[in-house]
Amino acid sequence: MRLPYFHYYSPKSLNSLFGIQEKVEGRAVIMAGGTELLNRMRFRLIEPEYVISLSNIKGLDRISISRDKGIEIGATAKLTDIACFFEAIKPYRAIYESAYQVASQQIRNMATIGGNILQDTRCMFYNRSRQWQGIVPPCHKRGGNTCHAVRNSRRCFAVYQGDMAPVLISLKAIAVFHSPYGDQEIPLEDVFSGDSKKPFFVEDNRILVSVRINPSDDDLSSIYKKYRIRDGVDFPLAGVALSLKRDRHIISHLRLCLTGLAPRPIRVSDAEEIAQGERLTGHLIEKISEIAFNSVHPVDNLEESAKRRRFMAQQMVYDVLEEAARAL
Amino acid sequence: MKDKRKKSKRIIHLHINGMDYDVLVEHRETLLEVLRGKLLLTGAKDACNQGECGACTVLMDGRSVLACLMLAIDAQGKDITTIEGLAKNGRLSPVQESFVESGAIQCGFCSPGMILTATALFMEKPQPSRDEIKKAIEGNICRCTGYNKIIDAIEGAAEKIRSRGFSDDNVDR
Repeated sequence: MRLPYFHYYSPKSLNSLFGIQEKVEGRAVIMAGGTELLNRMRFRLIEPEYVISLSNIKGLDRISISRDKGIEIGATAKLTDIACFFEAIKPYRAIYESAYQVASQQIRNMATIGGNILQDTRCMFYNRSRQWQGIVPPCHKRGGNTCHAVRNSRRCFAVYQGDMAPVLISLKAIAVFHSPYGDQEIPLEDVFSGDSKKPFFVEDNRILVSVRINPSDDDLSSIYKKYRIRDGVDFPLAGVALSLKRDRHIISHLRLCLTGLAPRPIRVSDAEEIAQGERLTGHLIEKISEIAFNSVHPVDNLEESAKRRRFMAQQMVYDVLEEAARAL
Repeated sequence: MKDKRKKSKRIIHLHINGMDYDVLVEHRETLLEVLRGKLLLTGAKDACNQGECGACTVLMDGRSVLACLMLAIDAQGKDITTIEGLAKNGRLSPVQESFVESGAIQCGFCSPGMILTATALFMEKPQPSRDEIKKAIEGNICRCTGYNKIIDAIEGAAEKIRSRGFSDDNVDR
């Protein structure tokens, strides 16, 4: 299916981008890599009048790491470059693991981290062809008032399936936004609204320019695991990101974040609390994976059943913790 | 308003297989539509059209990308290589040769994408392991399911490259 008609802009600076945005007043969408956006446009899930591409704005794709400033990843850095950059940096290996597992090589060469973080929520009853959309009544996300996943539901259950966000949240990343009124820094997890229909608190005139992670001096390690049917291309049906700081054998800080199970990445804060100051024993690992299991409530709206995704989330939490314990 | 958007067209300059083209494109046209429909370079295949099958793979500045998910306007100023540009002076590239010799071409529909993906892999890793090859072609679907022969062919190409060297003149970076 061909793309709908639109008018394309590719400004060379953020200032001219804001100028265009002011002119077109909310009728435009921002495009970074376009790998997800173009498909949504093909399915006529969105039909914007204007598309504003970030591809010609210089300097938005820088990746840097330093001892005093920490990590800064520009919003249009390609996932391939991010995977290459972080492959050998052991404390942040989860960034490599997640970037490397997104879609396929070709898509990673085009897709950006900003686009990956700010991707819309998905549902197998929503991300469908136009013909299919024509024969069923519109769901909540398409502006109707039914839900095909959960009968008689008053709300939407579309799932956030980003790979990068859970890892970055577990590493306490900060999202840096630029707007005509100045810069704004917010913790990445506060960018997510938890509402499937409008998953982000991002206003029209704010552009995500980079993601920052403050430097850490502790012994940090991070792991990401992803469950999907086809080992390549698929979105995560469940994903687990863990970051762990320790003082010898004692956990000084643990952060666990799950994706592909809810309208936003879910932090398992109960598990984080009980792990504080403990040793990573088999008993604790079992307890944390149980807490993770109880903190997610997926519904049957992706290619795999909710029951299995929930079980896999628990199993993967167990696996990442065991892997971390073995590395002690 | 819709009529105004229909008029959104632009003349763009594309550099494909070492040749320069000026093409009038609609803003909404993808690189794949322009390659196949306007420049008649039909080597890149139009299959799933949603970035899942890899049949439309082309090389852009030496990296594999999907032409169906790339706007033609966005491809300006980049060096694009399609399957038509791999053979030089009537001689197939090592990867193409190896595909022919190993019988890795059944119906041939996925072959352009597979060959270009493998070519991009060789530019990064001249001697990939079997697992690396499998990972590299994860985004390419072969519905004849001749994957084993394809992986063999890519391994064979690595051998060829080791013995006679991989010259970059087969690909415009």
